[in-house]
Amino acid sequence: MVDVSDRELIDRFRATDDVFHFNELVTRHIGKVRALISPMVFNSADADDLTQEVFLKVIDNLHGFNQKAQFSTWLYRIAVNTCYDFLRKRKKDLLACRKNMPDIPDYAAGPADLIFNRELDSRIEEAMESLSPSLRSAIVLTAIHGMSVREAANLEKCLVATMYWRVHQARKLLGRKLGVHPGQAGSRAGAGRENAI
Amino acid sequence: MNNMAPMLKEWAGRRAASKDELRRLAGRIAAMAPARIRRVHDRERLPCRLRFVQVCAAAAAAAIIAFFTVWHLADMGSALKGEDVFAKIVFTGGQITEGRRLFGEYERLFFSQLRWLAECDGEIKLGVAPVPEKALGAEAPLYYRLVVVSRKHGKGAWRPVWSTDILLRPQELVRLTPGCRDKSSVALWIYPFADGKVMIDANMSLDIGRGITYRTSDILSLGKPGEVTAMRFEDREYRVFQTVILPGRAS
Repeated sequence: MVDVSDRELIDRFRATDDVFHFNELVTRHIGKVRALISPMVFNSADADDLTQEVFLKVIDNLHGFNQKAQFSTWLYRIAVNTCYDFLRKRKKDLLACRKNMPDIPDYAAGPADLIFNRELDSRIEEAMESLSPSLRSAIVLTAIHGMSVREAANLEKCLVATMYWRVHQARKLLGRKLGVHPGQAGSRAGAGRENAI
Repeated sequence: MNNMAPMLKEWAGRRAASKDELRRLAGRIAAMAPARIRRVHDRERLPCRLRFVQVCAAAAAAAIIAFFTVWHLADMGSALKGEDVFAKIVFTGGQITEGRRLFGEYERLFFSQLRWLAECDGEIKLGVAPVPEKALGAEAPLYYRLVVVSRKHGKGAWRPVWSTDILLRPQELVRLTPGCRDKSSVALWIYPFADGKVMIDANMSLDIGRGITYRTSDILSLGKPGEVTAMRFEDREYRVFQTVILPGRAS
């Protein structure tokens, strides 16, 4: 199955409605979709539910997908829009949800790292939460998922200039919240922990 | 991204699901997939005729509203053909009320999925797609007007040669090909600031004269027209103006 392209899998699924082909698409893309949703909603259970919702939407719409765009682009667009819908519905409860979120320990790290990461995560989440969904999405797509601004703009169906502006705004706001300045250490691999963020 | 990207990547990495978790999640989806596929089949087979009737009804309603809209907006356009052409680039109170009513009607018709509405060359164009969260919060659409005026070089009165009105949600990207002008294209995005100013990103290619093409990123005060560009082709001069209002916000 590794040699079969997404396009072929889609064609086969459309022709046969065999769930096997769909499941193969899920296996290929579930990690990326879940990783895209997770930093948007801050809660593992919600991220799982939304990931599931995204793939069910794919079933609903796959027959109408014209394959002009790459399947992955189309899929991520659904994921981003699903996040927008979710954030709109749960705007008021978002903070409560986040606080109820179970901690995700970094098992590879020692206790000191664990405490440091927890504190850092909390600050990053707070900063991310202060961003509007579109700014959050811009930073998730470009900074975390390494998409180019053009790719992110294509995915969000907005002008490249708009996406530049969103990334710039998001970066500025995050920088202000996290106290990150150019040239300053930004990760644990950097200079001192006190200066890390 | 400098140092921010690695830090965010690490943060996202710590939040990532393990392989086992992903496998379980994929299993959950796989378990639900067959029922969903059946549902899609049922939806496609059974109510086909019903859906056809629904689509026809919606199309008919849209056509009726479009007729009245064109009628009204044509009237709006004719208001520009006066002596004081620049004063009439701005929206009047009546046009704002009418615009709000039309946008509301189309919005109801398309179940709150209306992203923008534009009048170009006597045609109504609509952008219909699920509206994201950021836009639904906005109380009213922005009103954008683009007017191209022209005169013989150095003499005569400026007269409007083309105009378009676009009602759009804040931060909504509008892309359209105006009516009968195949070579024209309009791309527009507007972001309203809290201080009564708006940022307008526009990428226009208008089939007027030998072609008016420009790409701008302007900051404009709400309600105050601004000149976007000016050019001259042989003995004719052209100037392009734009204005934006957000009803309910002081201009």
